[in-house]
Amino acid sequence: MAAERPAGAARGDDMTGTGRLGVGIGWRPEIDLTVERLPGVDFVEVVAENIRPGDLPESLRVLRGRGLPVIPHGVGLGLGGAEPPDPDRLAHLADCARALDAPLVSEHLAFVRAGGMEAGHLLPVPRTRAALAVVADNVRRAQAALPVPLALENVAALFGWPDDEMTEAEFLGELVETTGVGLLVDVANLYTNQINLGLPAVGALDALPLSELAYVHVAGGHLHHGVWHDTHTARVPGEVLEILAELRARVDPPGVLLEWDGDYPGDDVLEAELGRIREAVTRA
Amino acid sequence: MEEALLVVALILLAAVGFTASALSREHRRARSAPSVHLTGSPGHYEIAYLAGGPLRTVNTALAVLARGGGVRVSRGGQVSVVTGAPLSPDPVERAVLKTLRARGGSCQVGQLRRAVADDQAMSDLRDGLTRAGLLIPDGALAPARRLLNLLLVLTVLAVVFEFVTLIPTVFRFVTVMSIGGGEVVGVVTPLAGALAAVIGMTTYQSRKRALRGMLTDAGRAALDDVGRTHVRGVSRAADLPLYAAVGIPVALYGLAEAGDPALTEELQRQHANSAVSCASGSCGGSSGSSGDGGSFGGGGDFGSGGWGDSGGGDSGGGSSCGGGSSCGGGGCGGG
Repeated sequence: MAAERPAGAARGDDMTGTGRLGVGIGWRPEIDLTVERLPGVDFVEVVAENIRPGDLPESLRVLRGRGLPVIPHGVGLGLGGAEPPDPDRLAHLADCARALDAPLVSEHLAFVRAGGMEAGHLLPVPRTRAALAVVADNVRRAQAALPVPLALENVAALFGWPDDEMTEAEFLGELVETTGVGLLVDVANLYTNQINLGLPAVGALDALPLSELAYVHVAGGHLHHGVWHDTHTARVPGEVLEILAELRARVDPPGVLLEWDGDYPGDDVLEAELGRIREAVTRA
Repeated sequence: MEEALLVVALILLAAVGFTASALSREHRRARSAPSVHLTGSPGHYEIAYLAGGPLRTVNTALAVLARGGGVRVSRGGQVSVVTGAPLSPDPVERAVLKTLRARGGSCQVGQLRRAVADDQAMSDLRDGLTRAGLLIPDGALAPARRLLNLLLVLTVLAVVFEFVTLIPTVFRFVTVMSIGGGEVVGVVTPLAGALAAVIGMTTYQSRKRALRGMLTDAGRAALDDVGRTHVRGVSRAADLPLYAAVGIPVALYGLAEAGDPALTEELQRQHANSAVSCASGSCGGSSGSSGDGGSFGGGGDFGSGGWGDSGGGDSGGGSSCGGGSSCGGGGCGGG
């Protein structure tokens, strides 16, 4: 069970205090009109680094005007790093949450920079006790700076650190218990780790603290020379939807969101993908 | 002296009248180029070119492709290729898709319009219409334009002549009226000069506008025929093929007939940003298919405005990635 929530980490009526979200899609400027028109979109997520809180894209204002929740999703906070999160980046995320009246914000359990050098990727955190203490401190700092709850996402990794003492699920579980942070489970990332690192996705689901689930990411990718690339540019493979169904068998997710970040297909394809997701979470 | 001025005035009047008449004849000759019957009715891109030139043609292709799922238009007038969309058999549509792919899959609508307007597909379309006798061939209007320039010279001379002769005439008239006497003030000379100037100016203005039009009489008739069977603003059956439901209405009347107000707004938003002088409501609007002022040209879609260039300011709220650079290709997605 989660520890007592820090300030700003409790709101709403659901297991994570964020309310029910439904089925959503990642809002991107290239598909803004499409997202506005797609039937059955209950919420959207926007990459926080891509917007200015004082000058929100018209499309997001339209969606907010319709009452759709818009979740700022950070990619550059680097909560998994050894250094505390940058106050400016935190302030930006907080401003995004306020500007969008977001029910929560989300970020990754990853480190993205060290010693002033940007990795350019969401790299896995060394899963040691020492690292856990550092990351927990970073998460608490972030929670204190944010006006809404924070959820952390598991990442897709191409490697694991040799001195890892815990699985990612165990690490996230302890982090959730220590800080009360919410959980954003990316089932496509679980699938990626299963293919690339041999880590069973269903086993991870069993170990994750799903009671603190805020919402779920789903995406497609490509297999190239035996390595799964989580590109977010293809239809969601059936195996990923199976993992989603396994998750649904364990918990009723407050929200499930389709990520599609390039090579955008027609509106009918995106609509069909949302339908497949909806079907996967309702059949279980 | 007065007789000499009268002779000059009459010569000017005759020269203006002759030139104006010759200009009309020459323009009529150019417009009445022999037409070759097209095999069947003109297609929607041929109609678009006749109604509004390259810009209307590109807009028609954009509307057809966007409504058909070949391209996606996002807010701010960014146009992008839809992945997995079927290849188009039409050369203009292929030119749109080729242009987008050459720019990484997406492009501002203003840049796209200009690039496609310069594409070989557009030249081929124009050449086909010219061969069919629906467009006036390049150079065919050159004699008429030379006559137009001559008319301008004669008109300027008439205005100067009128100015020179009218002042002494008025002076003498005022003197006679105030002092009295039986002298008759001659008004024929200034009247003849004035008539020459007025005829010259009105003919010059109307013909200058008309000479911008590139349609032959056959082209005008073909366009009018299509316009009569496709009335502006009527609701269209849902099961019509795209070319009939979207292509022909946009070709004839502009983007407002695309049947998708949001799409029209985004494609025209760029027009509004940059179009300096879109007279006659032809920027994505009316075809200008009435009168003899030419179907595209002055004030029409073929004018200098209306291409929808962004003017370089494309750092819209949602399109910047981090520090403000353009966010393309999906590099800014979440994990």
